Amino acid sequence: MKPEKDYVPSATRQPLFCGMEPYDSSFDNLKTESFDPGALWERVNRDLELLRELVELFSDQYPALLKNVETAIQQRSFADVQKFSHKIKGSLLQFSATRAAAAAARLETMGKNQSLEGAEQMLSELREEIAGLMQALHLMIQKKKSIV
Amino acid sequence: MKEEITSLVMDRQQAKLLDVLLIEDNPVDARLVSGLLRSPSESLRCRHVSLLAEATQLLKAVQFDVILLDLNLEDSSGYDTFARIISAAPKTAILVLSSSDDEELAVRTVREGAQDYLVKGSFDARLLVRSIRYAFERKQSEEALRHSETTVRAIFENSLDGIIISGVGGICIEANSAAAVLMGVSREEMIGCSLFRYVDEETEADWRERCKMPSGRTRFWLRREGGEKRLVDCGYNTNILPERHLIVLRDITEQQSLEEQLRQSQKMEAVGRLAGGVAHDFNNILGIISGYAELVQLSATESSQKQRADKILGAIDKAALLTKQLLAFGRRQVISPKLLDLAIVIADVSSMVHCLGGAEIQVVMHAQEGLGLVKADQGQLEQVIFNLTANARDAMPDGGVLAIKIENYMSRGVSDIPPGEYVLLSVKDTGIGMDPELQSRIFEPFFTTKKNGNGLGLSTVYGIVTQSSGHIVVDSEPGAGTTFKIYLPVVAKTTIRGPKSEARRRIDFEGHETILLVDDEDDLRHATAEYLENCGYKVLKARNGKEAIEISDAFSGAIALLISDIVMPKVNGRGLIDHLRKKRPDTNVLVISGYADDAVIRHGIYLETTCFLQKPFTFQVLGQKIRKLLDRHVQ
Repeated sequence: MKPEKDYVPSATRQPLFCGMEPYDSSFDNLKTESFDPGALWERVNRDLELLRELVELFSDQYPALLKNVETAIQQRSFADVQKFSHKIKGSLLQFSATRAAAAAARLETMGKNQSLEGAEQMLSELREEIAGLMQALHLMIQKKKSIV
Repeated sequence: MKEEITSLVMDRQQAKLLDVLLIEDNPVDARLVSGLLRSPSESLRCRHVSLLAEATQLLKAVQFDVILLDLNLEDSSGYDTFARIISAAPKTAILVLSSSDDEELAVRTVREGAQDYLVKGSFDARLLVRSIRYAFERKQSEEALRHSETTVRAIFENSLDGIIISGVGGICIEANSAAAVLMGVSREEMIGCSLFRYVDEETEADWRERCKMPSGRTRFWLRREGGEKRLVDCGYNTNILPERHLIVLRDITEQQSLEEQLRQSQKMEAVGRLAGGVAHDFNNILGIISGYAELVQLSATESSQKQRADKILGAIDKAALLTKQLLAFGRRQVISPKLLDLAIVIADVSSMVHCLGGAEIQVVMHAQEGLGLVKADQGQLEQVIFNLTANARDAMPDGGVLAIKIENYMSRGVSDIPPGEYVLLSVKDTGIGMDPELQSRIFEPFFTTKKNGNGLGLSTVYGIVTQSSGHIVVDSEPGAGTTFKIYLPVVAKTTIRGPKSEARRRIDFEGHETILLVDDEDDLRHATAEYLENCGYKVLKARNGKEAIEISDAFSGAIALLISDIVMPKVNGRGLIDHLRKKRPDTNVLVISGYADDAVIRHGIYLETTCFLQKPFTFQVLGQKIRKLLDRHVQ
């Protein structure tokens, strides 16, 4: 049995470069050791609408995830530290936030190894990296919006 | 840019609408992936679920082409997630999407059936779409390969022919069950062994030589584990893979044996036909000699002339007996059981038995006086004696004694023979004899120990004896000769007087009717016509069926009897008889033929037995037969 058509994301044929916008060199100003806006722009296939949706979703998601990691560290729940860090890491990787993703990965490893020494410090570092990332992401969206 | 466009265009050209199931519990990741899949290619339809339970439920109802799987979900994590999905959708391509760059996990999932393993943050839309498409294509290829492998494996396992894959030096790498059965070992025993171990020494060199060719077909003898030899038809193909050779073996031992038997029986059939043909022609010649000898005898005024004619007729009787035996050998006689005195049967075949036995064999025949009568077909019993004689001869390659004895026998039921009176025919030789195992198989059709035997001789004997309600017993020991005892139940005790014992009498068979005589043998036709005219008949003579029809149509009077040969040029006997039965329904028919009765039947002529006379016949018998027919008609 083949799937029903009702969940087909795109029912109509689209032009070959539909949704793709040219590379904006002003993104280069946002590039840091922590964040590569050019790589993100390519990853979302230069689709501003998609990027905006992702940023909104992450904005809604990350505070709760950080809170979950914090609670897990406090409760010394290794499995939860590993699980929630892993989840944040996934999103951060998609946003090309390399340092933030690395911090989340270290927390994940701590949970996996059941050794939470320095975990709070690492969580703090992660919070800072995500805060910086969110600023950069919002700038990126606004900048692109003003151009469009 | 140009390259990028070309790539995308190619992707679109090759695109097939694929149904993708995304199993991802992270909303950001899920949105990104579904967004990426939507954008460059509308040839993907993506459905998203967050939990493993949802996914497995959905997979029960829907067939997807590709599954994008995050390993860490709310209700499952790590390799376990993969294991449960592949078991729910074994035929679907699975692409693992993970945020953990775990090489070990990646290798494990790919080894266990995942088509690819992508780390989040390391792929863009183009890479993802391409990975999905490649994953689908690889899975399709894998499935096709698996299907093909399953089919080939089934053929391999179920083939009635032995199939072997060998490696360097003829070492068996794989063999199917049929091959193992052929070699007389288990498959496990075969694998790892050199195949030359099973090739008979006599044909090994030839086999090695032939196998130097890249492919081909050959026949050779296998030597089974127990030492038994089997003839095999072998098809081989070297290097179907590097240093892997295919060998297909078919056991043709029985086929070869049957072919040989068929050739032998065809040869015997041809010999029989030849013998029948010779007998026919010879009978015609005898008929002419007999006819004129009788005419001489009838017209003889001096006793010396009459005596000479008697000698000629006596010699003709002996010659006629020989042709009759030839016809029996050619199996051209119709089976008709009748009361028989075995002493007469034996006397009839005596000369043939001596011939069959050959110079090295001394034949001794003895028949008790006052034998009971049995009911059997004479031709068949003659066949029994011939077959047993041939068997005895083959058992005595250096010569010996063959004793044929006939006597009355009363069974009290002590032995295997049921109580009652029998005529016992025993055929005893002083040959090599047989062990009990061999004795137990000798009556099996096609069983033979002779190089050129057809295995039918003794089975025919057995068939005839049982068909005649008799019993056959074999008594033999290696080196002590063999005795076949045939017990035929006695059905009457009245003595039969053989035709030879009847004195040749001159009986007056005069008549006045018109007879149409048709025979392509001029001399026989003239002699017969002269005899019939002497008897007072009016004789219309024809050389063949066509001429006979013309004479019949032109003749206005009644034709009381048609005497006709069967096998003739132009219109044959059947055509003539059919014509006469239409035009002259009252005309009697008497068929004369140098062939036996079955030839008449084969020509499709229905006759009562009284209307057939086999050549050579005496005019006395002919005259008697004619009167019987015509007088019956009058009555």
